Amino acid sequence: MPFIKGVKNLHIDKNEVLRYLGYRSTPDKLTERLMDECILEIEEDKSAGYEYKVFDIEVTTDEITILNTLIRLSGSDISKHLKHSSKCAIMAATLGSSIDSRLRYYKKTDIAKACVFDACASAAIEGVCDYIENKIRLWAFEKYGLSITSRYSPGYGNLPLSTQGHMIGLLNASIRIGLTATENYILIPSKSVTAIIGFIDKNNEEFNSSCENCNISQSCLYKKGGDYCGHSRIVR
Amino acid sequence: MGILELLGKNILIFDGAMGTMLQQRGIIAGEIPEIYNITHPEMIEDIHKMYIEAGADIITTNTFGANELKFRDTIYTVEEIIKSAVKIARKAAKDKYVALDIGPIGQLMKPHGVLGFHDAYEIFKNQIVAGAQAGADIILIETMSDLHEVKAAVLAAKENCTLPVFCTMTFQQHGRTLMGTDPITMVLVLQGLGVDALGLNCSLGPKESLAIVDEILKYSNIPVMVQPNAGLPKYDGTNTIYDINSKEYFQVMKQLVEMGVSIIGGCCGTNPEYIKQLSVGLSKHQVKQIERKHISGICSSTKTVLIDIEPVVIGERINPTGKKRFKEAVRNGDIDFIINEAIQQKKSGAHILDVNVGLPEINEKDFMINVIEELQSVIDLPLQIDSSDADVLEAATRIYNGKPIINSVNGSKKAMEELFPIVKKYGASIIGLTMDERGIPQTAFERVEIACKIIETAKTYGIEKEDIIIDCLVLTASAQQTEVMETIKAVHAIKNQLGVKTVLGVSNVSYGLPNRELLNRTYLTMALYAGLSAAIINPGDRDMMDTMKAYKVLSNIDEKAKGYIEAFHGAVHLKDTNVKKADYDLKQVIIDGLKEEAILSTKELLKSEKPMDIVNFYIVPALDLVGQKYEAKELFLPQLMQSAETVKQAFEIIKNFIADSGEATINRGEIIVATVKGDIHDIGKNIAKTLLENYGFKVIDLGKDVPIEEVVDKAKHHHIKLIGLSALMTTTVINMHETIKAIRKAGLTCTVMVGGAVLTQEYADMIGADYYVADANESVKVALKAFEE
Repeated sequence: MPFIKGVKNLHIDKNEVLRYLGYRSTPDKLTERLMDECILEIEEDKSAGYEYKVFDIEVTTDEITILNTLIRLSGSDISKHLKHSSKCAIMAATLGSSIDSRLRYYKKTDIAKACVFDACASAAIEGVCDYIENKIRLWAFEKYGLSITSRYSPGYGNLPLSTQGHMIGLLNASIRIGLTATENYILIPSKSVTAIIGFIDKNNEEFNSSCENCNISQSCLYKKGGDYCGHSRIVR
Repeated sequence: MGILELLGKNILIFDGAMGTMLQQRGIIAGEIPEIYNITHPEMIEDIHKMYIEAGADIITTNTFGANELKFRDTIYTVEEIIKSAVKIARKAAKDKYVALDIGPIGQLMKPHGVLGFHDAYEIFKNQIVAGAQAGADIILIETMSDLHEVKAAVLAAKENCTLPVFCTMTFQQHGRTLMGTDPITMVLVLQGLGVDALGLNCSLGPKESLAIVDEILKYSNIPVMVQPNAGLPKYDGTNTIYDINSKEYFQVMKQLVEMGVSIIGGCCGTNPEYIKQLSVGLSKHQVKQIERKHISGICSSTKTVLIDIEPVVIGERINPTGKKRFKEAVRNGDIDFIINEAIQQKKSGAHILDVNVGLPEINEKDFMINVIEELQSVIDLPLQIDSSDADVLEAATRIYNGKPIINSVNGSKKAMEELFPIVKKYGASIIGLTMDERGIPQTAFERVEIACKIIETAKTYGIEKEDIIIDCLVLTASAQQTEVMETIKAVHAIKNQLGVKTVLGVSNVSYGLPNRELLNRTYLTMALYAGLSAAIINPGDRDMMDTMKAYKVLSNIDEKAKGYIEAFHGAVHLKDTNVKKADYDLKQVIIDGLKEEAILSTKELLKSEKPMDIVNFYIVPALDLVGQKYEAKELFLPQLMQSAETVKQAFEIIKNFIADSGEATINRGEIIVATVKGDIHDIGKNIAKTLLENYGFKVIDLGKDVPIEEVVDKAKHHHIKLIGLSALMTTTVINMHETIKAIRKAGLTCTVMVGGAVLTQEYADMIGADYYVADANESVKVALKAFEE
């Protein structure tokens, strides 16, 4: 069953889950069972939501102006990311607060399940973001014949985390999907993402490793093991 | 004429969207619309006037987001924005009414987020005081998703002004709000809190609202208000467009009025044209009379339990009376133990949980509040707040999210005077004990008399019959055998003659006699047959729960025995099937992560071994081995945690044994763990805590988002040697630094270990931590070292 209304065939990637949990091999039976239980629960939960909108932008070397709004995104890194774009999509997605409630419950009752549930939920929000990204990709192509950049979130590089508040405001996401940011710019519900995607010409596509933008790329356990986190755990 | 005189008699027309109108006039994203009250007053006034001209009876001030948090970074105060907004609306409204608009704060409340109930109350209070002083006629609390936030707002309104309060929540298509509240729960809680009108706004279009409004009307005894969007939002790449025009809108709104809605207006996407249609077509429409319903319902924020034909189970286990292990947990502030009791009762089928934490040596009020908050953060069952202290009852009822039962009042004048105002103010249900100044009367007749007195007195406070549950008091058959039947007779009479619900704490009856189970379940059957509505029992008692199931079949409540068959079909009926042989080795059981087996083998070991020896020679070696395998990547986090959970089970058995036998408790040393101020990601901390406890350390878990002072105070108070701090974000690591600074400044000599995704050894050194721990396993090593000497 899909966990967003109207979205079919949205699956939680078990390999991703295992990677978050540190596995390199096939899991034991107990973990496998926990994983199946958690995936089912998350897929049956109906509180996930997302919003996105497309904006015209003006890019300078250290700032992005989102036209027809008061919002400016500061930082040379976001400018670099969007250097070939004159439009961008701003997106926000959340699994919703009931996933947090379940996680809270498992933290109290079964910490092993809590670990697995946490990893499954992380994989799920990644899945939701991939889905939205594809929607945006299609939009960019159909409307403008353009391609898109990878997702770029507040906290990557020198794009301040405080940008989260602007993005939530632009999308009216707190009313629409219940997504909020605290004074310390922590997104609540916890399994949530905000991101910017630039629209670009096909010729300007380039692979853009998010590890460079991650603040723990030096100490990352995934990276040390020759692996990566799937860019879902980029730390700001 | 005052608005209250029109309410429920005339159709009242509210205005439509403010935001949509401002956008048309050029406001752009990122601007704060409420600032227009000061920079563009004429524009706001113009919009208000258009709605008045369209026929609105009530206009809404441009103050939806005018709260302290949203205005923190502006040059304006909330007071000046609100005063200006009310002044503009007042001027445009003339003889029509002005509603002070109050939207959600925009931050999630605890336990989801970090905003506390009291903080939310204060934010709303400032808005309401400013609005009322400036001359608003109505407080409109709207577009809410969180029932707890609504409660804070309603209390702030009721306690700080005398204006009528209207309140609407916003629902998703699946019929609940984003935070999971359903229509019946909203109605019972808000009606209880004494709002003047309630209903739905925003999110959905009128068509999608129909089913939800129908539910609301089914339960509401007060006027219902609906302000939908102009259809569902569609995004065209530049704008959000709502897909229903004013004619279609009118058609559905007419249907809603015919169903019984008496206050109507618009939300996102609507404009004066929509309101004009409503005003022209519906303002003279007759209001459908509200039929008075008598619903006995108890609510958490997401679940309502109806006390009706089907008897309800109230779990009695959260109560220290006669339980050594529970008393120890209360004294130690061990909330996890209490939560576990709650979860076990829920799993056994309890519908409501009684919560009593009264012990003379603790601060009952603070602890009760803490327990209620923690319980509500993990469990969705409604609660029954149980204390002999009215102060404790009021404090707990105030912060409770939903509609609780208060346990209890009796028929004495003093008790009723003390408790009924609380019951009324917070819209709770109350258990009334059939005793008074003279004690418990012997006969059923006298108990019915006291019940009458309670019901009549409650009425004078405005408390309705459906919110009263009478406890006819069970006496023990061993001491007062002649009176045992009087209780049953009283239940029958009170149920049938007085028409109120009844409750009994059934298992008192068997006290002091052998084979108590037999007496308990027989007595339960008798009481159920007499008409008992709710039984306060131990849901873990299979006999009692099965008796309930059987009764429901035989009394035709469980139709076609569906529930019964589901419960018993294929069940093996062998008594004492639990006597399995415990031939497992505890060490292996832990390594394999087998929780059930851990219970059996620990019990077995306790017959011959001392508790501390079990820890040292079985548990620790097994954990060490699992830890090594984890480090060698032979097994992984979930397996490590399975083993940890298994040890937890073993420890629970050992702790029970110690509580009963009086042996020395296991305590290698006390450690504080906390996720620092501002941070809510605490899973890493919880993992470390579990493992530390496994090794026999006593862990004082301060939770998440822990204020710096609290860490320092607790460390001082408990003479702590080791503190573990966690933080996940770069923005909150700063608070970790501050916490360590404060610990050092206070002159505490404790060792500090830190962990969390963003931390590194270098960073840990920089912020002055003694140890950086990359995972929970390492935290154990640090702890063992710290307490070595």
